[in-house]
Formats: sequence, C-alpha cells, structure tokens
Amino acid sequence: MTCLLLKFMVIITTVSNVLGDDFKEEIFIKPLPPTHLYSYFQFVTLVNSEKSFAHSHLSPRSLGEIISRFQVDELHLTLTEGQWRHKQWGYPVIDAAPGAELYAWFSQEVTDIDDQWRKLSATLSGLFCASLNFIDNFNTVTPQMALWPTGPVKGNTNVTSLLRYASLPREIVCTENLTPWKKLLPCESSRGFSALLNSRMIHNTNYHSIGVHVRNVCASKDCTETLLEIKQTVALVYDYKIINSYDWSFRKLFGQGLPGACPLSSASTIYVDITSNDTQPFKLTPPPDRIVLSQRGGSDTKLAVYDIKADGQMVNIGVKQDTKEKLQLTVPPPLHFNRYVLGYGKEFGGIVTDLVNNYWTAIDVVLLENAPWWLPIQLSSLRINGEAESKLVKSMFYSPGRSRQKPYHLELLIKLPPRSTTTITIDFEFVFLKWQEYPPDANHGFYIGSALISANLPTAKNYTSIPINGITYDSVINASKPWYPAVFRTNGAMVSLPTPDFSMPYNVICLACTVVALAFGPLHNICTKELVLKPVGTPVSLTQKLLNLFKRKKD
Amino acid sequence: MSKQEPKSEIEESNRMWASASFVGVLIIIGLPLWWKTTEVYRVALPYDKISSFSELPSIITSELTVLANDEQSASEIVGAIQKAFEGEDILKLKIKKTIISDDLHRTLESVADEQDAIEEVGAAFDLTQHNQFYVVQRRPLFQDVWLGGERVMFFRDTKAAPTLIQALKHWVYQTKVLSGARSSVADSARRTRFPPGAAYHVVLSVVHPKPDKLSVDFDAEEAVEDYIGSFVDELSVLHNFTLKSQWLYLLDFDFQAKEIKDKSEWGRHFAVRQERLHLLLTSLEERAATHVSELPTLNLALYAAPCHAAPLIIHDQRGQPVQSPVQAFMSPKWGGVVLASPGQAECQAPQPRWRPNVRVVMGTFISQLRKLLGIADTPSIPGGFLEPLRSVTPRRWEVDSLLRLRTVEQLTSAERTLQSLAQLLGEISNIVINDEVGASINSAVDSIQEASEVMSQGHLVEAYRVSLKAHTAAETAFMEPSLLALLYFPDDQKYAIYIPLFLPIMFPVILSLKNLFLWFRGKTVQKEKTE
Amino acid sequence: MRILIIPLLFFTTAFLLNFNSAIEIPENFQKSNHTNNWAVLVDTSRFWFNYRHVANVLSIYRSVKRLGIPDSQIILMISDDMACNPRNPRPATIFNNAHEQINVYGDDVEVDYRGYEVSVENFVRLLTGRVPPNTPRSKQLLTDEGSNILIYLTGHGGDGFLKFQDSEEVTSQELADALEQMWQKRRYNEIFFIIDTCQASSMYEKFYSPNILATASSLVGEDSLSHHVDSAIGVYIIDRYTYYVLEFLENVHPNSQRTMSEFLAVCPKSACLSTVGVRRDLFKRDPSKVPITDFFGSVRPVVITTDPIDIVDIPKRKKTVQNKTKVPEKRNYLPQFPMHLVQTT
Repeated sequence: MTCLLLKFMVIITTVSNVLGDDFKEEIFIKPLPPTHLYSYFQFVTLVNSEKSFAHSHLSPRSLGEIISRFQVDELHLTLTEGQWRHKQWGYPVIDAAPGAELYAWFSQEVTDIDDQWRKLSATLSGLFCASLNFIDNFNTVTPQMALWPTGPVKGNTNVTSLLRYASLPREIVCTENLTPWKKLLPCESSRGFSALLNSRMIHNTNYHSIGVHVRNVCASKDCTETLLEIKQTVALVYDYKIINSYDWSFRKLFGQGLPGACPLSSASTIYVDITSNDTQPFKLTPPPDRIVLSQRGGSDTKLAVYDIKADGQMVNIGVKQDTKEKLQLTVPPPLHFNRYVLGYGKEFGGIVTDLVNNYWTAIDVVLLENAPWWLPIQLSSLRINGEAESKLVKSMFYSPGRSRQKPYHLELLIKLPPRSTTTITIDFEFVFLKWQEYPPDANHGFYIGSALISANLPTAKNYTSIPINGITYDSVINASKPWYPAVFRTNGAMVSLPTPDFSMPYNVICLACTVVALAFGPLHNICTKELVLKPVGTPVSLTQKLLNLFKRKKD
Repeated sequence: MSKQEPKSEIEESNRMWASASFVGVLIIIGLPLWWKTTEVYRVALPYDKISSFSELPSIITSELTVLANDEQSASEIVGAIQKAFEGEDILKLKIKKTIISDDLHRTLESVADEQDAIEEVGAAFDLTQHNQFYVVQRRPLFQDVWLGGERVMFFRDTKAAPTLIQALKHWVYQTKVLSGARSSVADSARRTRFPPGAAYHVVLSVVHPKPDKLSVDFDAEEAVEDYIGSFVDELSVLHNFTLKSQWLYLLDFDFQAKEIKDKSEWGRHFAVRQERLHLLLTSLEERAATHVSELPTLNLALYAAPCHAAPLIIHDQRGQPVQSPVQAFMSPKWGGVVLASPGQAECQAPQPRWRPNVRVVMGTFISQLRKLLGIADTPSIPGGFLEPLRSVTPRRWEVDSLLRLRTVEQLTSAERTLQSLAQLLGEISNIVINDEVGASINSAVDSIQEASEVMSQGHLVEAYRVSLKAHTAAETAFMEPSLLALLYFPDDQKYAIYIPLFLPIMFPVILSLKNLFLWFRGKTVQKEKTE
Repeated sequence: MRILIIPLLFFTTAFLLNFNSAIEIPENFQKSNHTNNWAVLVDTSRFWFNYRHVANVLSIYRSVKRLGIPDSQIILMISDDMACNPRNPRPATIFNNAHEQINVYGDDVEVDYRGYEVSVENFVRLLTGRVPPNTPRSKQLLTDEGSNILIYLTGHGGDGFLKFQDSEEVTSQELADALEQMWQKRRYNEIFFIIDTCQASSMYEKFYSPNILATASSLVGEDSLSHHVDSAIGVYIIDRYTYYVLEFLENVHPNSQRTMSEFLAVCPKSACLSTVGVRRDLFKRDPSKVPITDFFGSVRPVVITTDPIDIVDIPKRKKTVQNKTKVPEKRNYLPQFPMHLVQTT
C-alpha cells in the first residue's frame, strides 16, 4: 500500500515537475484563549513564470490571464467580514481590512497605471462577484511608507509609484464570493482541504476572510530566476459558543470530516498549535504524525503536524479539553491599537487612533490614514499625544484630497516609546454631497475604511506570519530574525453624514407650483386689471348670475 | 369727467403695457428659451445615406480563368459558366479564357499525378493571389472534375461542364452560403459559425476526472501551438488568434452511460445518449472560466475517460452507436469536445498511464474549428472528386471563400445596424446623440460605401479589411454607452412638472392676449368686474 | 369464439390508441427556432424586511439553473445581502419556506450585480448592451438573434413603475423602449417576461416589440401578497405567486412536456388572492403548444462530428525566436519596513 502510494507520489511529482506547477495545501489551527479558535487555510501554487500564462496546468488560467493582461507584478485581494481583535487574539498570519481590500504593484513597462488599475478592478469584480468596479481614482491611494512588495524586485525600481491601494469597507462577503474563489483551486471543492469549506459553516463565524495573493518568489539562490506564487487563503475565527462546546473537531467546525488530501497536491499538511497544552491541557485525536518545537524570536511554539494522504480516508481531527474550570488570562500582544470617531453634530468630528506599546523597547510604526474625499481631514489639527509638533514623528507624508477626485492620504512614521499609549487625533469636517452621490440607504451611515499600521516588531510574540522568503507554513519554524515586519489593519468606523430629505424634490415641485400659481394670478390681475365700481341694478350677464347664485348660498 | 378721461387712458395704457410685458417675457422670451434649453443635443446624422444602403450594390467580383485545349471548348465552357452564374446577385465572375500553351499541354497530358500537374500550372501562372481561380483542362482524369488544395480545378472535357458548374457553385464559390450571409433569417451555416470579429481566443481544456487512478501524458501546450497554431497562421489574413490551454481536474460529470456488452477489446462499452451531451458543456463552462477573456472564445475540450468508465461511445437519437473513428461532438457558437478513452492494456498496467493519440485528437479539433470559423461543408457531387485534407492547412480557395463570406456578412451587418440605429433614433426622440456617436456613424457610413466599391472591384483582402472597419464602427456606434442619457426622463414625467408650473401662469396671460389685441386695434374696452 | 373477440377488440383499440398518441406528441409542440437560453433575474428591493424578494429571485435562479441554463448565461441582480446579513439567524442560507425545506441560496450561487450596482441605469444598460467600457463579460448580456430570454423582476411596484432600492424607479415606458432597442439590434428571439410586484401588469402594458410573452402576478389596482411569515426570522419570506411558481417548477425536469399555458395558470385567484395577468398578443406562437423548457431550460444544439481530418504531415509551428537574450537580472527582497527613514533621524 505504502509503496503504491510512494510510486504514485513519484508520478505526480514527475508530472508536476515536467509541467512546472507545484500545488500545496495547508491548514493552521490555533486556539485563541479563552473562547475562540483560529483556523487558517492556505493553498499555494508555484508556477514557472518564464513561460507565458496562456498555458496553465495547476494554476488557475483565469487569474494568470488577468496577471499577464494587466502586467501585474504582485496582487493582494482580500474579502473580509468581521474585525480581528488584536488585543485578545494576537496577530493573524495575514491581516485583512473589513470589506474588500485590493492592492497591486504593476510592472515597470506600464505607461498609464491608473487606467490599468481601473481595468484590473473591473475584471476582478467580474471574476469574484464583488463590487470591485467601484474602485476608481477617488478612493485609491499610493502608500509611500506603509506597504512594500513581498516579492523580489529588480535593482533600482521605484516600487512606490507602481503601487495602488483601495479598500471598500461596505463590501459584504458571502457564498457568491466563495464559489468563484473555490473554482480557482485545481481540486476545486470535491477533494482536498477545500472540501471543508462549507459556506453554511464558515460564514457562521466571528471573522471570515478569503484572499488571493499573487507574488514572485526566488527560484534560485542568487534570485536571477523567479517563480510565480499564487496563494489562496481563508482565515476563520470560531467562537466556542457558536459550535456549542469547548471541544472542537472538524465535524463541529466544518460540518464534515476531511475526505483525504487533493491528489494533485505535493504536500498536504495540518498544523495545530498546542502550546497552550501546558497550561490548559487537552487531548488531540488522532495523534499527530510529529510534534515540532519552534523557537522564534524569544517565544516558543509547539506545533502538532499531520501529513494527510490522498487515499480518500476520512480524517477528523479534534480536541477534547481535559479540564474546563481553569480560565486562562490573555496577555496582550506587544502592539495593539484602537480607533474611534469623536465628535457630535453634523459639522465637525475627529478620528482618534490609540497605539499601545506593551514592549520594553520602542517600536517603529507607520500609520496610514486613508480618509475619503467627502471627509476632509485637516492636517493642522493633527495632534500626537496632544502636541502638534511631536518628537515621536520621524517622517510624515500628507497628500490632501480633491473633491470627487482624490482621497486624503496621511502617513506618519512614529517611534512608539516603550510601555506607552500614543494617541493620534485628527479632525475632519463633513461635506455635503450632491444629490446623485448619496447611496440608496444614506441614513445607514458612511463607512470610513480602516487605517493601516505597518510595524517593525522586535519580538515574535503572538506573531504567526510566514517570513517573506518562505512559501509554506513550515518556514515559520525556528525562523528567528532581528525584526518581524507586520502590516495590521485597524477597525473601520462609521459616520453619519448630513443627509437631505429625499422626498424634497417632490415637495419642492408641489410647493413651488402652488406658490407660483397662487401668487402669479393676483399679481397679474393687479398689474393689468382695474377695479371698477358698479352701481346696483345694472344688467348682469348669465355667468355672473350663476356665480352670484353660488355666492348667495355661501352667505 | 374730462380730467378722469386722460387719467383713465393713461392708466389703461399702463395696464396694457404691463400685460404686454408679461406676454413679452413669458411667451416671446421664455417659451423659446425653455425650448432651447431643454432640447436634446443631437448631432446631424446622414439619414439619407443610411436609408440608401439598400441601393448600394453589394456584389463581389471574382476572377476566373478558364484554360482549355482549344478555342471551341474554351468558349463552350465559358458560355456555360456565364449562363449558370448570371442569376447570382452576390457574385460576379470575370471570366478570362486562354488556350493552354503547347508545353503546358504536353506536360499536363504526360504527368501522372494531379499534384505534379498543379505544380506545373503553378509554374506558369500565379496561384497565390486571393480571389482568383483557374479551371484547367486535363484529359487524363479519372473523374469529370478534380479539385485539390490549390486554386486550380481540372476538368476532362466539355462534357464535364455541368459537373464543373456544380463544383464551382457548391465547392469553390459556395453561393448558397454566401447568400445566406445576407439573409435576415440565419441559415444553418450562420447559426454554426462564430460572429464576425477581428480576433478570437482558442482555449483547449484537458478534462481529467480521476488523476489518482490514471495518469494522462499529453502536452497540451505543444499540441495547441503546433497543430492549431499552424492552422490559425493560415487564417492570419482574417483574424488574430490567441491560443491557450488548461487542465481541468476532478470534473465530475455523470454521463449516465449504460454499459453494453460488445465484441471490442474491452468486451463492453458505455453508451452515452446524445441528449445528455449538452449538460457536459454546462459543467465545462463552470470550470473553464472563459468569461475572463474580452474576446469571443472557441472552446475545445478533450475529455479523458477514466478506466472504470471506458470506452465511451456516443449513441445517437435512434440508439445506434455513432460510426466515426473518434467520439466527438460540437456545439455551434461554442466549441467542440472529443471523448477519448484509454485502451485496455494501459488500464491493466499497475500504474495506469495513457498517451492519447495527438494526431487523431487534433485532427478532430481542426475539423470542428473549421466549421466554427465558417469553412462550410462540401457536399458530394457525382463525377467530381475533392481531394481529402491531409494536413491542417486549409485549402486556398476555402480561405478565399471565407474572405468573401465574412466580407458580405460584415457589410450586411453594418448596414443593418446603422439602419436600425437610424430608425431607433428617429423613434425615441429623447436619446442624446453626441459627437463621438456622430463620428462613428459617419465613419461607418463611409467605410460601408468604400467597402462596397472595393468589393465590386475584386480586391478581396482590402474589401475584407474595410468591411471589418465598417462593422466595428457600426457596432461601436450602436453600443455607445452615452446613447442612454436622458432616456429615462420620459415625456409624461416632463409634463407632470411643467403643467402645474406653467399652466397657472399661462392661463391669465393668454386670456389677456385678447384684450391686448383689441386695445392695440384702438378700441378701448372696459371690462367690468362685479364684486 | 365470441369470448375471444372481446379481448381482441380491447387489444386492438389499445394498440391503435397507443399508436396514435405516439405520433401525436411530437406534433403537439410548435417548433421553436432558438439556439440558446438566457435569464435575467432582478431583485430590486433593499432592507431586511424585503427578504422575500431575494427569496423570490433566488427561487427562480435555482429552478433555471437546475433545468440547465449555465451560470454564464444567467445575469442575477440582487440589491441587498440577506444571506450573510447579521440579522439572519441562519447564515449563508435563504429559505423559501418556514419549514426550511429548500435553501434557495445554495452552495453554488454567482451574483453578477449586487448591492448598489443594481440601479435603473445599470439595468437598462444591461438590456440594451450599452455597458460602460471595462465591463467584464460575465456582467454583459451577450445574446444574439437566436436567444430566448427569461426576464424576471420582483420588488415593490406601482402603476407604471417599479421601484429600485427605494430611491429610484424604472417606468414601463423605459422598459418598453429598452426591449425595443433589443429587438432592433436582434438581441433576442423570444422573451418571457415575469414580474411579481404590486400592480405588476402595468409594467408590460406599454410593450410594443414582437415576440414577447408577459405575465404578472397582479393586475392594475391589485396588490401582490406575501405568503407567510417565518417567526424565527421575523419577516415574510416569500411571495405567493413565486411560492406557487417554485412549487410548479420543482416538479419540472429537463425533459418535461409541460407547456407554457400550464405555467401561466399556475396561480389561480384562490391561491394568489390577486389575478395573474397575461399578455400574449405580441407572442406569435400559441402558449399551450410551447414547452416550458423553451424558456426555463437550456437548449444547446449538439452536432456529432463524423469527419475528423486524417492528418498525415504533422505540423510544427515555428517558434518566434526571441533574439534578445535576456541578461538575467538579480532581484532582491525589499525590507518590509522603511528602516532607511528611521535610521536617518
């Protein structure tokens, strides 16, 4: 049996190597004490980028066609519902802003990047059934310091000018986005880890996010050749209350067990974080294939690893808590933040971002505030901890917006002092929109997208992201580095713009017509007619007789 | 009394001038101003030229050279052809007749093989020009008429004239298909082929439902590039093609095939009913993701049947297995599918591995592609022999015929589009026609007239290009997004706003017109208003 | 002998009847000459209390997909999200029935226009084909002269208009003009127009293009009513007319022989409480002879290939030689944080 499998794996690998594509699928599960569970799915396809994308094997041809038609070097698209609570849950593998978030680096040969960006978002909207076609110049920014390409670039490219970023916080995510996302996988949803993604179960979570990330990776040591990496991710945060028990298993989370791995994948692995087993013991069934201890930047993580075969056997990994009485206190991560809107009334307001540094050294962060054009933020009202000119700000970039053309873009490079809270406040004023610009449910409120916080963390505590030169999840094992860069998204906010009464045109027409009718008649009469007294007894016409009849009746 | 008289006269004249000024402002200034500001911007369109399209001659001229051994047979053949083709309103043949030179005559009589004969003719005449055709007499022929891949047809003698004319009508010039391109109701050839365009995408999908049970060794990229690439290179004068390929794994489609025992190597076959086949296309479309391309896509799919369901044989509506070397079917305006099954030997091996026969599979796809691109079928004519195709290159006269067909189709569609656009713009009066639309329409009209001229002169390739330009300009004009402005402000809504506003104003003003009129005539009118 | 005559007579009459009916069935239907089927399904209402309109349109979507029309030929427009709405106690599901019988949202839904994209302008642009540039093909109605289109509209309507998202309306005149533009461009063969709103029949009164069969859930002056409340969700979850239509269509399979006239009579006044209106004067064929699959199913003509080319000389395409030998350039991973800006200060 095993030698048959071995021979089968050899065939698959030879076929894949001959045709150049490699597909791997992974799941990472981490309990977020006390009441949540984080599961992260990752499907990675490596394609030889020297060949054209016209002929594809395991990679999705539609995505390859989009990448080559619009000459995109790197693309990140996420569709998320829910907020990631950094203070309680630590850091996710890939963070995403609520709603839809799209950013891409284009190739140097593109002449009109804005035009390509519009075309790219329109085509992606058709592919993923999302309203990405609302992305246009008036909600796109070019981050100067916050985002950097994760793929290798050639020597002296000015990557910042090739970047475009847009976020649509109002976008919803549902099965209609998951369906085309699943179709991009080589095994679709019948086999492999994607069979676990049942929409009824994964949308019943506190946080769910699906993403597509395309970038280049180095193929050789000197990085003269690159491969294209297409990564599709799903991040879910379950609440034990929703699944009604503290013991979780695949059946409880996804509605079914795992029906074996995808036959086309060269590696299908499941990682379960069992670090908390020391403090809150639990039993993991079936027993893992191996346990790996990873020391990364001062924090130890114990991972249970399962290698899943494509033999069609149902796998149901589950956990049974040994004791339910102990409640674990969560230690907040080194950096967490909060963002909220200040003010009352419909004239002015303010956005406040609190950055808390729990660590004993200073942490450098870049804060990107992206305010839409209808919420002009005043740079003169920027206060860091109450001061207008603060020594904490090392670098600043501000690009004022233009009505209906550009959003307001503020980037601050701040050195957060150790063990402190830094409060950044900026004021805005409300703008009257034109009649047609109000959405149909204008009284619902308008969403302000989340701010980006790009941090250079000195410690890997609660840090689960994959290092930049790694492709699969096992590259986090013992991946200690001097710095751990991460990009976080804060929560979004909602403001209520001054909205008119939409029945006004109808009222105005009626009122105006009535006033005109009532006023014009007498005015015209006064100007053009003369009052003449008539003695009683003079002959009256027939019409006058009729009118008098009515008048007498009134008296 | 006399003091009051001038006073009342002055007052009356004041009143009348006031009334007149109301009238002046509202009726003389206001009404034209309102009319001007609410009129819909409409660029002047060449309606007369558009309506005269039906008088435009759309005839393609084609050159035909008849080479015969002597003057008498030449004139007889020429006369017969002229008589047969004089009823055609879409094709005009310019027939030249020549006597075959003695050298050529000797070589034609002596050479055994038709291919060598064609080479000889090619040495004497230029066979590479589009829109030309040669009919050459050659005595040692088995049949009345022989036709190969070049622009030459051989005939035996004058008694072969009827067969010759049949061959010219149904094989070379395809007059029925050509007139079908112009008809308002689509004929079967038009329903099958893709609509005209400058470029297409061709996608080959290899469908492999069970990759763990069987490994399929097929280099899709090489097959597509070599076979289909060489085919579409020959059609580069017509369209641009982008070739793509992909693998669709784990596509589970239930054929509901019945197992039938027979005498093949497997001992059985699985019968797939024809009615079930179109559902395979639905499930292919879900995975093939062809909607990402911006151009029309021809889909070719190779379905690799798994070992436990092999071999798949299509049964037609009567329940009989289809007699064909390859199990394949095609859907008009969509593409084609080939159902390939591994052999029993490959499946019995410990690790089943199968290499489909690329030549056979691609040959089927090429034949399906030909039909989808408009190369029509050739019916069999008694007495005529059409050399069967041995390579992927289409026959030269097929390319000419396709050029003619597409030119006529594009020109007709451009004319019809402009005529319906003109009618539409006349019917619905509140569509804005801005400058770009006007420019597109004018450019389309000019191109149509130019194309029809060039067509009748016989420059086929140029006529094709100009008619493509006309077709594209007409489509752009019709589908211009700006033609929608103000469409949804219909007349009844306009009146609902104007009437309550203007009626109370106009009512006293118009009534006062009568008094004004009488006063200006010189009569003083005293209107009494009793209280 | 006489005893044998009776069963003999019986058998011969049975045989003859069978024989006759076997010939009759194919002639019962008037042949249609359409070559493909499309569906445009629009739900125009926003807000949670209009859950039933989304359930309506998804019921039709589900039936049409089940009967064979592929997603690439269905344009689905849904104005608001009910399935993943935070107020939905059963996420990612929309039921047509309080007993949760059918999840009409399903696992395989693809919505083409959603949320704010469902507007009068986009709807009219979709029908007439005048979409803005860069519109992906999945959001365009790529029909041709052989397409039979099913158009289904649901929402809140009135005499002569249909409300879109509670903020704008499409009038019956606009709709009639849009369909006329489709006819002029030969973008349809036949249209079956269903509308399920209040005073729905006013929307088809102004049609003037040929080959349209229209039906509405209520006449002018009548309201279309909803079917029942789901107390777990707290809103009405489906409309009467579409509830009975879905019940009818659930029993239709792709080879069904049911006719359009049966569909037009699916909801009698006793069930719907409003009179179903039908407009058939623009439709050339007799609805009692038109099979229901002409509009709800999908026809895709299939031609069996019997003449493959026997390729003797195997071709080899000349590869375009890349004459510029690319000098391999070294690439580097960039630092993910602008350290250069930190160090300078």
